[in-house]
Amino acid sequence: MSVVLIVDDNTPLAEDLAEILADAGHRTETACSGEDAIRRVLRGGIDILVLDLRMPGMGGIEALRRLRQTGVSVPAIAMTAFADEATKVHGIEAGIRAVLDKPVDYARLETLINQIAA
Amino acid sequence: MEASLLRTRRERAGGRAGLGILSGPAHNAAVSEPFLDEVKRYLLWTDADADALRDAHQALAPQLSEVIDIHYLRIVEHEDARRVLTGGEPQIARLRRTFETWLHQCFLGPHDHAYLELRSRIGHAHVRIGLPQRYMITSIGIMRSALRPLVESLIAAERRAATHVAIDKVLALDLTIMLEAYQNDTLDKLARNERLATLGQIGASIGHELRNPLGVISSSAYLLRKSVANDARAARHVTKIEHHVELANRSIADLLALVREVPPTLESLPASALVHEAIEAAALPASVRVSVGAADTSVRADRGQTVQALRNLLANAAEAMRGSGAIDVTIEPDGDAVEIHVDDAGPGFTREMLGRAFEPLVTTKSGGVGLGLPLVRRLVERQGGKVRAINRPGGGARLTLRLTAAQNGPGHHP
Repeated sequence: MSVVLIVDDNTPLAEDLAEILADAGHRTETACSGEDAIRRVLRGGIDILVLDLRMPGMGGIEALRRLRQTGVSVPAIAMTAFADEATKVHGIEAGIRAVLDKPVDYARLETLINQIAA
Repeated sequence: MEASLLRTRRERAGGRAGLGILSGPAHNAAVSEPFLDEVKRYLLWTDADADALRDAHQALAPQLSEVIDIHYLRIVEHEDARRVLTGGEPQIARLRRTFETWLHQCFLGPHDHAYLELRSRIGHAHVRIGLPQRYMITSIGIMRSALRPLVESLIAAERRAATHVAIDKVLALDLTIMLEAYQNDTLDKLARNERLATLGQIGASIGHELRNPLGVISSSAYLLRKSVANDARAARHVTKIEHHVELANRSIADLLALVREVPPTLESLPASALVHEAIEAAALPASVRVSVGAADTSVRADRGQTVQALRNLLANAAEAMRGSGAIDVTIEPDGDAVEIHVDDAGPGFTREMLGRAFEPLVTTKSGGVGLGLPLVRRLVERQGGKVRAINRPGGGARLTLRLTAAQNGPGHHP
């Protein structure tokens, strides 16, 4: 069973995604900002990150870059409502496995998480 | 006078300072009577000019068809000018009749408000069919040259000078009125861009704000669906929620795509592949049948933006037919371009809507906000293409994308 951290400043959405992934058999936690996500990941025990690219303050890419700088390489899936190609390429360069457009295709999210967890 | 002319133009453009977001510009506004008086004063137009033209008409009338022949021969012989007249011989015959009325009226007058209105309408018709203004300006020159020898040979020597002056003045008057139509069109475009910019700023922020609650509604509906698997009535309502969230998301996506500047990445692509991709993306109801008459040709286009434009055209066609009927898509090479026509079996456009189909916030659909077709235009024009809408003679509408044909690369068939 993988532990998935869902990071989105839209807390109700993060909670729903956590519930969807919990139904799919994963343990889930939520965070509401890039800073919050870094703190939680550094405490350990997170296997997969699902994070919004744009959040007030620190966005998903910046949070991931800082984690990489500290030597943490948690696999990550990004979500964005601004899915232009440049952002996607930028995100993938920062170590993101996949970028999902918002509104999120939940079935695809489940599949991706299952693939990473396998 | 100049300040006054400018003021008149600004007023016609919709009073720019007070332009409301939803009120829009005074589209194709008529040229006003004070404008006519002003131009006449500038030309030093007198009753003697009107008299000279009327007198000359008696002698020149039998020869005026010769002037018209010269004019249309010049158009037919000129490849680029001819291309503007897409309606072929019937259109040329129609335009010839209008032209004949116009030319006789130049001489006979009266050079009053009705005169002004006809010229203004002709000018707007030129804008509508996309006639570059250089052809109108040069046509006036051609007519002046064609009339000059007629005056020399048919008008008595003592009246010739006055006739030449009067002809110069009336042609200048007409050209000025018709150029106003182009000026108004430019101002309309500026006002439309201004409207889009304002709409974009407000719309983009509202769109993003709405996406968050829509995301939550969508994720909650997804979870709810699992809980109501055995309750058909509840499941039906979940389906409704999902469908309407999808519609709302699509409107927001259209709005954001409309205001966002994404430079196109042009590549050679088979036109039929783009059409089929768009049909798949449109996910039209089963009650809508789509047939594709595909010429084996390629376009130079941005894949994502063209598919999105075609998808919007298909969705628009399906909505025009109230979700049931046949859509015919045809791909037609035309010189350096490829045209993709989307024909529907709906009621077609009203006369007023036909000229405004691609303007933002203009819609006849009760549930629509009028962003789909403006987005099509935006996406296609960004790639150097064009869009147009016509009513088909047999009923229904035809919306056309005109894209640059691919010269090289995979799928090109000369």
